[in-house]
Amino acid sequence: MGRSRFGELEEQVVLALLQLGGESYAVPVAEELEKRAGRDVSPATVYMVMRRLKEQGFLESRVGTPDPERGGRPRRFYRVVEKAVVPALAESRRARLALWEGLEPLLEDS
Amino acid sequence: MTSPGERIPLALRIAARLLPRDAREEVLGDLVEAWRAREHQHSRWARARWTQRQPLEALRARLRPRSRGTASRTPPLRVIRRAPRLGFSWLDVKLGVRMLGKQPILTIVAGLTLALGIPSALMPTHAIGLFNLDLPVEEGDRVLGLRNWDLESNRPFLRNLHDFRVWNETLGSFESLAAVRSDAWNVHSSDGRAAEVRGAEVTASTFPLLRVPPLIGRTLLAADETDGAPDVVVISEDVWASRFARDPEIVGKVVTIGRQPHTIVGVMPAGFYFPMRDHLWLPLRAHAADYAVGTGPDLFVVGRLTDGVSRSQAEAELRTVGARLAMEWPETHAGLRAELVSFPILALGERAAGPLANWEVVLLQLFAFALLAVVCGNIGTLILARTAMRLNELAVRTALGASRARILGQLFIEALVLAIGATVVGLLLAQEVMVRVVYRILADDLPYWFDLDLSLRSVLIALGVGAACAVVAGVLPAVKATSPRIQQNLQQSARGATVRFGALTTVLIVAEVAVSVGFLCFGTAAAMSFGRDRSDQSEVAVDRYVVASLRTPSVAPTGDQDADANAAQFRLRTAQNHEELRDRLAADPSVRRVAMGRHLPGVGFADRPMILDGTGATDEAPNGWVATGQVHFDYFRDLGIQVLQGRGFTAADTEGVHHPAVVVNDQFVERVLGGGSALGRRLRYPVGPGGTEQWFEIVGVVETYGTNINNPGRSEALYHPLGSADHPMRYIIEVADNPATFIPTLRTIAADVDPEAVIQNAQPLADLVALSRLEQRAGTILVFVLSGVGMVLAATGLYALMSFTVSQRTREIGIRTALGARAGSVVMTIAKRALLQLTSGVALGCVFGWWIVAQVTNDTEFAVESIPGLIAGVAAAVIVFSALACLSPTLRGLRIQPTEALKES
Repeated sequence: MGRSRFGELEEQVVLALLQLGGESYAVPVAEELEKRAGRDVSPATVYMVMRRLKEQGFLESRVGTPDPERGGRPRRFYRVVEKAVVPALAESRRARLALWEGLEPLLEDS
Repeated sequence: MTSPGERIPLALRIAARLLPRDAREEVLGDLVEAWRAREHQHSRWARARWTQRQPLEALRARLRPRSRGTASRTPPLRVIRRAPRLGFSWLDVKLGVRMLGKQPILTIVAGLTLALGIPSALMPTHAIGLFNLDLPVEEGDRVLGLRNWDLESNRPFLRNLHDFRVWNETLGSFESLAAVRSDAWNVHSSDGRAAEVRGAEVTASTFPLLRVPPLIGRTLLAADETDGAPDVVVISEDVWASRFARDPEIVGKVVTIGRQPHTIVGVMPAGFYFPMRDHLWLPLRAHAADYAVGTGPDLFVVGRLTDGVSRSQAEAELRTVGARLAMEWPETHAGLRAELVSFPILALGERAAGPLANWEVVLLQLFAFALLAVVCGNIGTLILARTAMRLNELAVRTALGASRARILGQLFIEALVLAIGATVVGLLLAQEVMVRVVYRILADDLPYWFDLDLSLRSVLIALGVGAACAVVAGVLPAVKATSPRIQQNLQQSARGATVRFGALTTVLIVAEVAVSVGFLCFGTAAAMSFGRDRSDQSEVAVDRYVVASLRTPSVAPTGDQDADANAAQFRLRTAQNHEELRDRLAADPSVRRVAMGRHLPGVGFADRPMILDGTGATDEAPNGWVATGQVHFDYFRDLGIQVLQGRGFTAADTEGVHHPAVVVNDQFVERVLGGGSALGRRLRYPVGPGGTEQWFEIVGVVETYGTNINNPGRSEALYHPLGSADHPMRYIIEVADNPATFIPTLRTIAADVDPEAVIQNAQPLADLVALSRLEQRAGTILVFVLSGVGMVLAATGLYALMSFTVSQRTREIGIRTALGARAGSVVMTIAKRALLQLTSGVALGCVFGWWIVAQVTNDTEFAVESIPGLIAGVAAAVIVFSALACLSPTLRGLRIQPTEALKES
């Protein structure tokens, strides 16, 4: 069995990005994580995760327009590089499902 | 770097600081956005909790291991499941906190001392580190400066247009190079007003090299660099916001810069001010073909290292090419050394090793750590005294089976809790001082990449130093107090503990008292001089004047133009600009008077030592110090300053290389010459070894006028003449109305005289005087704080010594009291050694203080009426303060009852 290329948070950040249309920045991604996964993550954490994913070639980035709401500071938008991300997500999902195989009755009981 | 004055919670700023430099602005933006969004969605309490949590989250994010994927570059951190047994536990931390609470005075004194001492000790490293800062751009550590260093003049050689061409063509270690020339221009508004804006002429390669895309439009293109191409400009986000109200249709708009209209082609994002604090970027249109080797404009060259190439490899290649160029162009390049430096070193023109040589840095750092060691030594004395009082407790714990390591561990943790707490307080203080004071004063002058804020690295180093302090101040005394010999004595003898203070402690206390007396003398002299605003006693009504300087841009000689002819042309243009601006200002109805000079009332009269002919004074022992200024030859006429004897300056006084005529004021005649005849007297300044003596002759005496606004009582001064072509030249303008509102008019008149000449540093004289007083007061406060720390340290040392003496000699004091000893005799028993140390320290300090004050009062900024009075006052204050510190142990000694003492022993 091949090893997953993502940690748990990395995987969730990438999925949240995909849910947001494949391109977004740290604040909406953090909100999406809270909304969908109930995970309260700081925008700083999300930013650093996306920055590392970019270094690893899973994401690309560009600087957006500065906003007075942010004190004139620019946003850094990250975009999913599908060619790199999809195989890694597929591997991650396959590994997870393999581990769950035959364990579904546990959930039914609960 | 956060913008000064912006209201952002400190926790969010700290969180951003904990992340890599090039991520901080963007993350801070994210945090601010999320924080603002929470204003309406969450309760105030929930929002505050979220805010306070952010620094920890940021720290976790920074330290978070990379995912375990195959692309991961570093292995994940190993989780340590069980801490090794080090002889202490969390209970010790709790006990440590409780012990600190039980002795609040010791905690406050030692804590504050460390809180000031640790950041101060790290200051040299932090300051030196500023010269190795990376540019805040993507992979900024790979953007470096290339330059030639002139070995003879020990300065950078910047006329390197030809070098830039060769480097560009041959160096393979850099993926790209860019050349930059920083300048300032008049930018004209549609209503005809002009304002000085700092900008840079850059090659088109600059923006891709820095990897900063434009916010709007485009950056410069190679085609923009060709002669005859349309004039274009890229502007900063600040200029876009302040002058164009963020007009979304900004691209294509025209703005007049200098004489030429330029089309705006792009806007750079907020926070980008490359190379220094620049707001405009124009194409650099200097071509090597137009200039001889070693001529042309001054350029900074920056390069981005090619992937996989190290800095040392790139430097080796650059040196090789440099050596080849030195052979090819021996006339200009024989004495040059090509070198690769950090961007701050390049931009500030410092030596490659930084502003200080390596040994100087080491020396400075050693000095700082030596001071910290003194601080720790003193706190160690306090802790030793406290530990000595707990010897019985320690003996009981030993008897119950606690190992020495266990006891040492507990004492170390107590000191560590104190030191780490103090470090955190000290760092927060330092950060607030930086943000609130330094940035506020220097905000517009600091280069944009200059980052005084604390980094994660600085915080970690400070915590490390804090832990080291805990070892020195906590463990060493504990080792002494728990030595087997002492424990044995304690168990076998009823005489009490036998820990002793050594000669080192005595030297430490005497030195601290002496140093604090000396510096307090200096601080008091400074406070007496700068604590009061004396500008109302000056002849110059500071609230009616504007000061400014005019800079005429120089143009490098092109093609076959002779350098001398070029210089003469520049001098002529400068002289015309200076005189025309003065005359146009004088004709303006809102101007009362206008005059020119390099040193004007409130602007930098410089104190210099001086030797009067015929007085026997020498270079080593001059007659004294005097304020000197250079003023235009029409200065006295223009300001209506009355000539009392002889004559004022004329244009003839500025001809030739040496200008021997000087004019002095009446205070100079009275204070320096003792009221004698001044005309014809000769004077000179000291010269260094091998220098030539240059004598000046007094040709006139004028009435005193504004030579020392801060301290009008010391206004003796002499003037040297300047011609109209001399530069830099400042203007002092008396206006009928509010000086601040006249500044735009001044810029407009100057732009009308020469659209390319730039008015710089225009401000009301009152602001300038206030700023100079603020700087003086800040310096005074710093001296006071440092001397106060010294005095508190000395007093705590004395307190510790006496407190220790009382606890050590309780039995003896009890017996003496039982035998009928008088209170005075008991006090002497307790305080003899402390008194000796105090009086020795004060005596030494008085000598030191006298010397310091005598030196500083040569400076005309200082106003001290009586040196003996000042010294006596400070000595008395130190004695009283130290006596107060000794009061508590003395009273404790006097309260010892013989029966109690004998019972205890």
